[in-house]
Amino acid sequence: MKPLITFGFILIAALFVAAVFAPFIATHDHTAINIKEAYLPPSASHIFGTDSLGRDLFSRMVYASRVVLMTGFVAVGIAAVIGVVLGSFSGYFGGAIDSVIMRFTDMMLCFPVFFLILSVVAFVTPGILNIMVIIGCTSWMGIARLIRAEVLTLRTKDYVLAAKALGRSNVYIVFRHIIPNGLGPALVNFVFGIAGAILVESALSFLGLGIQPPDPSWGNILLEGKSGMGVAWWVSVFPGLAIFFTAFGFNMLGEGLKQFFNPRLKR
Amino acid sequence: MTNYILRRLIGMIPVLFGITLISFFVIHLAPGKPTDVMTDLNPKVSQESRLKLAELYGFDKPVYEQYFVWLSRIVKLDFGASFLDGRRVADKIAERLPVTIGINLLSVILIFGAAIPIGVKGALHYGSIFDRVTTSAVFLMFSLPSFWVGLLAISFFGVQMGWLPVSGITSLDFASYSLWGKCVDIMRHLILPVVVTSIGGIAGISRYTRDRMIDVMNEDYIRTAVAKGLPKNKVISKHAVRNALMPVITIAGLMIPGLISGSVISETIFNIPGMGRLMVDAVFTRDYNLIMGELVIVTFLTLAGNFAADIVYALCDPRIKFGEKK
Amino acid sequence: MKKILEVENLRISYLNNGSRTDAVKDISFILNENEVLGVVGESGSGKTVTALSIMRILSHEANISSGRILFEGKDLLSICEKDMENVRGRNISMIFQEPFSCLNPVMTVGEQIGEIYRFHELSAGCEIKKQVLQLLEKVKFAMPEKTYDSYPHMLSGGERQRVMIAMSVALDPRILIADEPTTALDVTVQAEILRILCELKKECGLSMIFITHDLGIISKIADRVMVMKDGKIVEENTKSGLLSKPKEEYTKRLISAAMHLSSGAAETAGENSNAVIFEARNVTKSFPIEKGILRKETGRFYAVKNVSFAVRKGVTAGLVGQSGCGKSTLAKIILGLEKPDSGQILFEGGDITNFYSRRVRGMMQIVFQDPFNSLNPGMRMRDIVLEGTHMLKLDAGSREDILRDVLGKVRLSYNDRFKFPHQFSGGQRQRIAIARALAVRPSLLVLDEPVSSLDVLIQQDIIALLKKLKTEMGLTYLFISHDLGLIKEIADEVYVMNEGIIVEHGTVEDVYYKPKDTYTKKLIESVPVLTKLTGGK
Repeated sequence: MKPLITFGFILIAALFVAAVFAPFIATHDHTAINIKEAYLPPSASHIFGTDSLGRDLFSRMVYASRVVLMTGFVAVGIAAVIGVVLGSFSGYFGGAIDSVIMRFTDMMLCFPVFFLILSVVAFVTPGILNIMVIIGCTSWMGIARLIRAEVLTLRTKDYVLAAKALGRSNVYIVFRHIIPNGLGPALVNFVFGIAGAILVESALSFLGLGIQPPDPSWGNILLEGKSGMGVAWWVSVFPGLAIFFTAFGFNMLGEGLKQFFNPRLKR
Repeated sequence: MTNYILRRLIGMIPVLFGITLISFFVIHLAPGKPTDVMTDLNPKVSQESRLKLAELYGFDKPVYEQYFVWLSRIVKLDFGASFLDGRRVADKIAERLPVTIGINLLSVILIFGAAIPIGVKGALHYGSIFDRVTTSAVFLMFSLPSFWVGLLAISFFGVQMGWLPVSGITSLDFASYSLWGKCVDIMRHLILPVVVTSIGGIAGISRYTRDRMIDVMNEDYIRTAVAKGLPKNKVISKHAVRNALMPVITIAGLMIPGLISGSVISETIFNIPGMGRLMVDAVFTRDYNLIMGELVIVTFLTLAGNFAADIVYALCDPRIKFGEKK
Repeated sequence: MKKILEVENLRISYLNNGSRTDAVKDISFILNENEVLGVVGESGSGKTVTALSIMRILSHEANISSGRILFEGKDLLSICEKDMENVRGRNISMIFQEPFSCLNPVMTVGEQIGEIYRFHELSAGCEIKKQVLQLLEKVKFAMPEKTYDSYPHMLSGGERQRVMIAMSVALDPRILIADEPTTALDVTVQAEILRILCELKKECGLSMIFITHDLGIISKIADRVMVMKDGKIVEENTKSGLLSKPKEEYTKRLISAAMHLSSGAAETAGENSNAVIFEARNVTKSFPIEKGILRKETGRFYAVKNVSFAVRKGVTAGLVGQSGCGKSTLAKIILGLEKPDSGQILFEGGDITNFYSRRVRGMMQIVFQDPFNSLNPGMRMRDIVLEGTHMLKLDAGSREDILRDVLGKVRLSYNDRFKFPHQFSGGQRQRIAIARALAVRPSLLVLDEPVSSLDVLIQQDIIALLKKLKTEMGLTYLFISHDLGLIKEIADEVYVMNEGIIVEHGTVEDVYYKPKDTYTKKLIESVPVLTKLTGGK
């Protein structure tokens, strides 16, 4: 397992580098349209070939990595905030608050996420920010449940009771005992969530409902690839590979973290 | 046991209400009125006409009133008319429903049929080559974007090799086939979509089964069974597998929304006339009634599926079936 | 005496994070026909591993590197798995420590016992059911038919252990290995199980290997005894021989610890006329029972029913009761971690039922049972110990002084203060917990089963420490335990609790030698006491 995890790590690092240093890595201006150069196969000058409008595929993909990464982190960030807040309130205070929040979470879980996202997308102006917010607001449920379970377990730990007996305040207990010990599994969930968010965004863009052209996203590049299927295999293959390797990288990182926090599962 | 079923059923009622509430308000988050989309493309429409149109559909009333009006209609299964072609939403959904359900059912069969044996074998041969290979394969499968796989499948199996059809669920000359020919034709069309939809599920369930089996094999009662002198294969089949697989039933229930979501992608790529494709089309045309209808129905289906899974689980677990001890 | 089992030069090692450690280091012993061989040892002594190796049910990390186990002329370690399957359950069987998890939750008792007959192909169909019912009668089930159709979760711990025993004697084995079968059970249930085992031994002519850490049990049922430590056999003798004339230092220490618990009465401080420092008046605490479709509250479970008691300053009050009697709930109420439904809590005369001020909290502290759970694994030792000192508003220097002082008192090294809990042993962790409680200088210390998770010798260490601290710091103790021997050793006065009520109260003399209440009597009788075989100890 270890080599795979390291591999995942490398992939994510590469992604970050590509996103941050995009202007330096891209070989061409990714917006430059040049119909004469449409659908050129991969070559020395165009590493991944060109798309239907003659734009260099490699450069487009490099710039798209920014969108992809941002979407992943922002969406999960939003989901995390909602999930952690709801989950910890639910777990710590119990009673009516718990019932209400859990009912709400259960209801949200009944919605096939994609359908829900599609419904919202239909009536909202498409845009990067909107997509990130929508994905975030529809994927917090798993985190909420996880946090709640953690808080419930930790709340009855003897060292929490001892702290109470020593006169410590609830605030202290939450920050000193509950959050640090509960964060581990949550972190794993976040990382897996990033992989998930990236796949959702790509799917949306592929359907034409996510990031709109000319803004590049690997998903919408693939959409173009669909029309050029018999003619230009590179437009279908490379962006897909990029999505795959990115998701794979995050999934591997998540798995590594999971084993780190729970050595029992090793092997 | 009946107690449990009744309890669950009654518990579902508020959830049903909640779902309709959430669906309704989620859609109304958007600025403007839903009917505006009908008139958006026509700049000559006056503001007055817009308002009149809104009034016609009842969008001028306060939101909560709209909700109750809508709620009272859908309880009678009246989902209104599609903005696109005026047909009843209920009809449009009804003709697409069987296709989506059919594909998802086949997916579930494929997923469990493939994943459980793989998971069990992986657990029993913990750490072996088989286990390591399947574990790596599972991670690969989790990371694959299903639409990409679909695209590649189409281009390879369909365009290049020509082995399988890649569009729709029937061939052009479907009507001329014999009954058997018709079945075969449909099956051939469904292979790729079902496989593509199942990838994530197979990865997830096989992983989960493996982890469960490993946990169960370490339980004390397995050690008891071995100490009784039971042969190993009996220990596994009678004691381990049954206990390990029980929660998998519940997981199956939880998978349903995921599968339905996934059908959006596979139906779009393979051009299948199902609920998913209908939804995508509805979104493109901002067909308010259709979107609302689909959302609510699909969610109800999920709820029903979860309920069924819970009942099956309760039937299998004597701790629930017979209640706690004296 | 005829030999029935012979273990020769057994060596077993475990693979742990890449390195091999020996769990059992070259041991040899024999078991004779119709005898009970008691195996005594603390955790890590290798006793369970040895037993599992006889049955060949060790986990994959274990490796039997050498040795022979001879049974009926065969070396069990060299026969094939199929043959071993025939031996297990039929010739040699085993019962384990945790009755709550050793039965398959989705199969009925009847099915689980029945399959032994089926798979050893000894009978079929209704014959099996008859035999199972007979078996259930043998282990004293009053309604065998009902038990036959029950699922494990419907049975109590003692009942489940009896099912295990039934399964193990179903095919009339020659050897029964019992690995701490009563450790997880209440004392009264334990007595019953031991009785059943003794009867079965006589009836069926069983030979037994009985593993336990409790010398009291050994003195009751064993014929020969073997003491193990760190994978080696330290001493081996007949029961009377070992208990009256132990040769090894370790054996002597074990016996001394057990004797302490069974005979030693505390150095009573005589009639205590100090002021009452803590009092509970008519305290009641209940929890809701939810049933029915709408989870309506159909009743309440009363954990603590109208309990009243008073603790004088300087006394060690012992609260003894079996699991589920409500003693832990009571402890939490005393410390203000749970609110009672009704009743009053008074501290130093003042009513604190509704509000525990910081000052009051500082006067009462608690030490919990499980040293693994009572320390935050991510906190350093010094932070844990000083956790309560925030109330005292001290500067850094005074804090360090307190730390040094209190660590010295519990005999922990000041140099270890930056270490994390997992770097300490169980006994050391409990000392950290005690230090944490003492750092705020309480007057009352509540100890909820503080040594139950520790090995017998370490228990003695901690008890001695607690006694010393009490006199040094002028503390008052409320010592809660299920272990009657422990309470007898350390307490001045005793409260006996059962099902939420205090059924008896008095000095150690009164309660242990002249009990009035029926429950108390039953309890005292059930404890297997290490009788004075030692003569002169």
